[in-house]
Amino acid sequence: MSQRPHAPARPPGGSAPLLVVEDLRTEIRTPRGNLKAVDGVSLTLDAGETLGLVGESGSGKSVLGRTVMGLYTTGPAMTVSGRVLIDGADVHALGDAGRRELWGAGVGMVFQDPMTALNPVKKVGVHLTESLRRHGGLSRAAARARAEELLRLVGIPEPARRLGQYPHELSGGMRQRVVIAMALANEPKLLIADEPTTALDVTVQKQILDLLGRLQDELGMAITLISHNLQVVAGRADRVAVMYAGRIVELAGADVLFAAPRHPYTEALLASVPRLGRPPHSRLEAIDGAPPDMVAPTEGCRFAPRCRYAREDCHRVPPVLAPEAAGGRARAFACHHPVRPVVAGGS
Amino acid sequence: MKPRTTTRLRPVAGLFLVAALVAACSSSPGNTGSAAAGPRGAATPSTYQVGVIGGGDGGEPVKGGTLTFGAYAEAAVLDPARTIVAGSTGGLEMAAIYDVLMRWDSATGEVRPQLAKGLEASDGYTTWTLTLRDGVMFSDGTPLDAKAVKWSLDRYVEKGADEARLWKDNVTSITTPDDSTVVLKLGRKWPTFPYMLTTGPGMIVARSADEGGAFKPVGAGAFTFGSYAEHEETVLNAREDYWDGRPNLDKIRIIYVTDPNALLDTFTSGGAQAAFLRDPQLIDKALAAGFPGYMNMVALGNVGVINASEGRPGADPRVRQAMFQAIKPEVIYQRSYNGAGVASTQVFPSFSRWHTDATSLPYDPDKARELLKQAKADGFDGKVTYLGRQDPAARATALAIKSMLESVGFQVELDLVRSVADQITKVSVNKDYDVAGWGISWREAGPYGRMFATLHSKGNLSVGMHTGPEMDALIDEFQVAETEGEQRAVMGRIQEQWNKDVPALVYGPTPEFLTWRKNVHGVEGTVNSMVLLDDAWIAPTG
Amino acid sequence: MARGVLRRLAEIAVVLVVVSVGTFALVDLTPGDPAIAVLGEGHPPEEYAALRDEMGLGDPFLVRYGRWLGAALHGDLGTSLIPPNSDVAERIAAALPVSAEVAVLGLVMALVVSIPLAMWSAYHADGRVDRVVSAGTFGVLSVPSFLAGLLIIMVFSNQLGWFPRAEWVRLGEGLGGNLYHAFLPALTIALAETAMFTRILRGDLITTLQEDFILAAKAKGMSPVRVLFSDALRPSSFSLITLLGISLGRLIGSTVIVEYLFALPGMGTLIIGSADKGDFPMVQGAVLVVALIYVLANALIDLSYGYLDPRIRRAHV
Repeated sequence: MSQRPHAPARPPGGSAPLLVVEDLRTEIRTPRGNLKAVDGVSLTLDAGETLGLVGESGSGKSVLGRTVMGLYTTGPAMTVSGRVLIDGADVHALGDAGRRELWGAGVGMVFQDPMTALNPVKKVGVHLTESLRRHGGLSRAAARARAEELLRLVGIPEPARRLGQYPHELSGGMRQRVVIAMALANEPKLLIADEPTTALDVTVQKQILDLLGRLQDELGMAITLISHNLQVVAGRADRVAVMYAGRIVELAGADVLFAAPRHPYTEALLASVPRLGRPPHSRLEAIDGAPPDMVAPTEGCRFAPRCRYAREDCHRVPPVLAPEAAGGRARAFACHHPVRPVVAGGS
Repeated sequence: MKPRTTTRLRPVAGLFLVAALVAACSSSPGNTGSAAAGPRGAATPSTYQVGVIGGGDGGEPVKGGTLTFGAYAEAAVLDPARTIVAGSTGGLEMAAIYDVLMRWDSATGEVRPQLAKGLEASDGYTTWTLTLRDGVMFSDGTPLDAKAVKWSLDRYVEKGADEARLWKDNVTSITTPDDSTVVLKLGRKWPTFPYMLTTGPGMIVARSADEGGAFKPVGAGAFTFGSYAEHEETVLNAREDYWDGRPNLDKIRIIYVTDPNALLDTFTSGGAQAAFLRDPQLIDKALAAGFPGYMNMVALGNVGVINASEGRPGADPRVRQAMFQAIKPEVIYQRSYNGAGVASTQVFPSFSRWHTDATSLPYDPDKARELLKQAKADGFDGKVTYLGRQDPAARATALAIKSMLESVGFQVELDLVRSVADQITKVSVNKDYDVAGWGISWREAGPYGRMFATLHSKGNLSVGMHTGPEMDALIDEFQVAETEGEQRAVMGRIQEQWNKDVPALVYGPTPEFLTWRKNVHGVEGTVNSMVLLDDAWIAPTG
Repeated sequence: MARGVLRRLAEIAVVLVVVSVGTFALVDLTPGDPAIAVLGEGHPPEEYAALRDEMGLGDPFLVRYGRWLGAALHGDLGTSLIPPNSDVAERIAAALPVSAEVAVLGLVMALVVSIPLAMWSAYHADGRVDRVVSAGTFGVLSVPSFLAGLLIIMVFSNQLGWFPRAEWVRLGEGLGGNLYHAFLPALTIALAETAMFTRILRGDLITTLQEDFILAAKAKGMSPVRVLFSDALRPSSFSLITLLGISLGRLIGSTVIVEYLFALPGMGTLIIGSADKGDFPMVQGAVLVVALIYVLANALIDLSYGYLDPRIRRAHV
C-alpha cells in the first residue's frame, strides 16, 4: 500500500469542518418493507481532505453518498433523518431550489458508470456549458472557453474537438474524465466520487485517481472517495471509514487502518485482498456468509453472524462507534471485542 | 407505497368519467327547446300545412347582405337540362341564375308569368303563344328573345333532360314569328301545359353557356354564377341589369352539409339563414321552433313499388292487394321517424288540392290473409323479397313492413343495399326486385308529368309496376281535362283505379320544408319546393 | 449513402404500387355505378351499358389499371367520371389542405397538451396527478371518435354556442376565421391522439428518468423543468415520434368521421363520396396521394431518429 505523496492541505487556523454528518439515517420504502440503507452514520470532513468510504455491495455507501449530497431526501420513496451540514448549510433543510444552488456551486458528484452518467443525445460540450451558464452565469462564448479549459484540466487531448463530440464517440476513460470535469465545472468545495473507477480498467484507474489527487491539490477540494475496492482507497485517502450494513464500523487514518485494523470486518477485508508476494496457489481468503437483510436487521452487531471472533454479547447488544483515544476523531470503531487489544481503556 | 390493486381501478374510473360526462350532457335541456321528445316521449302528431308558413310582412326591404342557404343535396351541374329541377337538387340555385318563364302560386294554385309576359292558349289548348318581355338580357349581354328561347328548349330536349321525354311526346313544333313571340304547338290537348314552363324547360339557358370546353351557367335570372367549390359552397352574385331591377340581396351562398342534423344545427345557430329539410323529425323541430318557410308535401314520396313482371309474386293482383291491406303506415312512421311526418295510404292525402272523396283500400289484415290464401292455393309460395336501403329510417321501415306482412302469412326476406346507386341499379335499371322502398313523387303543382312517367304503360319510370289500359285511359283523360274541377274528378277515379290495380304500397307523402330565419323576407315559393329570391331581403337582426 | 436512398425510393415505389392495385381492385368490387350517377334514373339498361363502355369501364382489370398507371406516372391523375368532371389532381389539391390542416392542427394540439402532461405524470409517477391522468387517458381512449365528436358538438356548439358546427373558411380567406372553424374538428382529433401520446411518452419518460444521467444532471443543479425538457425528453421521444408519423399518415386519409360530423370538404369526404358512386379515377388518385403522404411521413420519421439519437447516425443510411 503506497503512502499518499504529501500531507493533506489543512485550512489554516483549523476552522470548522466542511462536511458534518450527524446520525444520518436513510430508510427506503420497498414492497417488502422499509430498508434501512443508512442506519445512523456520523462523520466529518475538512476542506482539502480526502475521506475514503469502503464497504461491500449493499453496505449503503452509495446511498450514504447521495444522501449526504442531498440527492436523496425525504419523499414518497424514502425517509431521511439526521443532519448534513455542508459549509454550515443544513442540506436537508434547504428547499429544492436551495439544494440546486448547492449542487451547482458547492458540491459536485462523480458517478460510477461513465457509460450512463452522460446523456447520449447531448454533445460533450453541452454537458459542461449547461451548468457553467446556469450557475456560473457565463456567456456562451465564455462557457465554451471554460469548458475547453476543463477538459484540458482533466487531461483530455484535443479538447476543442471533443466538445463537439457525443459521449459514445469517446472511450471509457475519457468519458469518466468528462464526468469529472462536469462535477468540477463550478469549482465545488466538496467532491463526492462514487466508485469513480469501478467501470474502468486498471491502467485507466490509476490515471483517474492520480487526476483526482492532482485536482484536489490545485483546487483545495475535499473529496469523499467511495469504493468497494481497498486498493483504490489506499494511498489516496487521508482517513478511511469502513461501512457495513448501513453503519460505520471503523474510522481511522488511512495508514493506521491498513496497518492495524481493529474491527474484525476490516481485518477480514484486508486479508481477502490477493497479494503478489504470496506463494502460488495460495487459497484466497473470503468472508463467509452474506450481508444481512436491512429490512429486518438482527439485534446486536450486524457483522456478528459472519465474525470469527463473535461472542454471545455480540449477538445481543449492538456496538457503538466509539473513539479509541479520548478527544478526537483520530480513531474509532464499533466492536465489543476488537482485533487488537486496546492498550489503555478498552472494551 | 399503495398496493397494486389501484391500477386495476384506473380504467374503470376512466370509463365512469366518460359515462358521467355523457349523462350530464344528455340530461341538460334540449337545444331547440322543442316539445318533441326522444323515443320515449309523447310524439306530437305533425300537422303540416302546405304553402308558405309563418313570416310576417317585415316592412321596407333592406338592400344588401348575403343569404347563406344550406342545401339538401349538391347539384354538381347547374344545368336544368341535366339536373332534376327541384328544391332538393339545385332548384334554388338554378331559379336564381335562370329565372323561370312562369311561376306557380302555391296559395291560389295558378300558374303566372314570371320572366315571360304572358302565355295564351288557343285551338282547344293545343296551341300556346308565349309572349316575352322587351329588353330582357342574359347576364352575358345577349338578348333573351324568341330565338334564344327556342334554342334553349331544343337543347333541353336534345340533352335528354328529366322531362324531355314528356316534352318531346307532346310538343310538335316551336316557331318564332317575331322576336317577342314563341308559338308552341302540341300534338294533344293539354290544358295544364303551362306547368312545364315553371320547371326545367322554363329555365332559359344562354348560348354562351355551352361555348368553350366546360359548361358555365349563364341565364337571365336575378343572380349570376360566381364560383363553385365542390363539397363546399356555390356563390351567386346579384345582377344589376335583372329585368325586374337589381335584387335586394348582394350574394347568395349555398353550402353543402351532408349530415341533416349538422345542417339543422348550422341553421338554428345562424350559420345559415335558410335550409332545405327533408327529414320529418328535423322538420318538426324547425316548425316547433317557429321558423317560417315554404312547406310542401310530395305525394307518393314514400312508397313500396311492386314488381308486376312475369314470374314475380307481384304479377298476381291478389298478392298486391293483400300486401296493401296488410300494411298500416302509421306503424312505419312511428318506427322510422318517431311519429313525425304524415302517414297515409291515399294517393293525395287531405292537405292536397287533388284530394277527393275517393278513399284508398282500408287496412284489413283479415282480408289480406284471405287473398293471400287464395293466391297460395294457386301455387304462390308466399315468399317475397323486400329491397330497401341501409340507413336507419329505411331499415326501420323495412323491418316494420316485414313484420306486418308476415303477420298475414307472407315470408319476407330483406335485401338492404348500401347506397342510392345500388338501389337505382336494382330497381330502375335491372328491375331485379319483388317489392322495393321507393319514391314516385307526384308534384302538387303539376302531377301529370310524373304520373305519366311512372304509371302509364308508355312511361319510362314505371320500374316494373303494373300498368294497364284503364289507368292509361285515366291518365290520358287527366291531361285533357280543362278545369281544375274536372281534373280533380279524374284524380278521384285514378284513386279508385289504384285500388284495383295496386301498382304500389303507399306509406305516405314526403315533406319538404325550405325554411328561413325570421329576419328573412320576400321569399316566394314555386313548383317542386323551389323558391324565388329576386325579391328576398334580410332585415338586420334587432 | 446513395445506395440507401435508392433502396428507400424502391421501397416507396413498391408500397405505392401495392396500394394502388389493391384500391383498384376494391373499387371494382364495391357496388357503385358511375353511369347511373351521370345519366340519372329512368333510362333503359342499354344506355347505361353503352355509357359504361364509352367510359372504358368494360375493359379487363389489368388494362384499366395499366392505363391509369401510365397516365399517373406522367402526373396525370385523370378526370372524374361524375359531373362536373373535375380534374382529379385539382380536386385533391382542394381537398387535401383541409384534411391536412385539421390533422396537423389536431396533432399539434395533442403534442402541446400531451408533452407537459406526460412529463408531469412521469415526474410524479404514481402520485395523485399521475393516477388521474392515467385514468383519464384510458377513458378518453375508450371513446370512439364519432362519440367524442358528437359530445364536443353538443357542448361547444349547441349548448355554449362558442363555435360553429358545419362551416368552413378557407385559409386564403382569413387566418382567424379559418382557425375558428377548424378548432372543433381539430379538438376531436386531438382528444384521442393526446391520450395515446401521453401514455406512450409517460412510459418512456419514466424509464428514462431512472437513468444515471438524469441524476447526474440533477446533481449539476439543473432545475426539474430543465432536466425534463433538456435531458429526458429527447431520449424518450422515439415511440412518440414513431406514433406521430403513423398518426399523420393515418389521419389525412381517415378523418372521414370528423369530416362528416363537421361537414368539412376534405379527403375523407372526397374518397367516400367518390367510392360510393364508383368514380374510380378520383378514388385512385386520392388514395395514392394519401399513401404517398403516409410513406413520406414515415420516411421523415425514420430520418429523425438519427437526429434524436446520435448513436444511430452512423449506422443509419
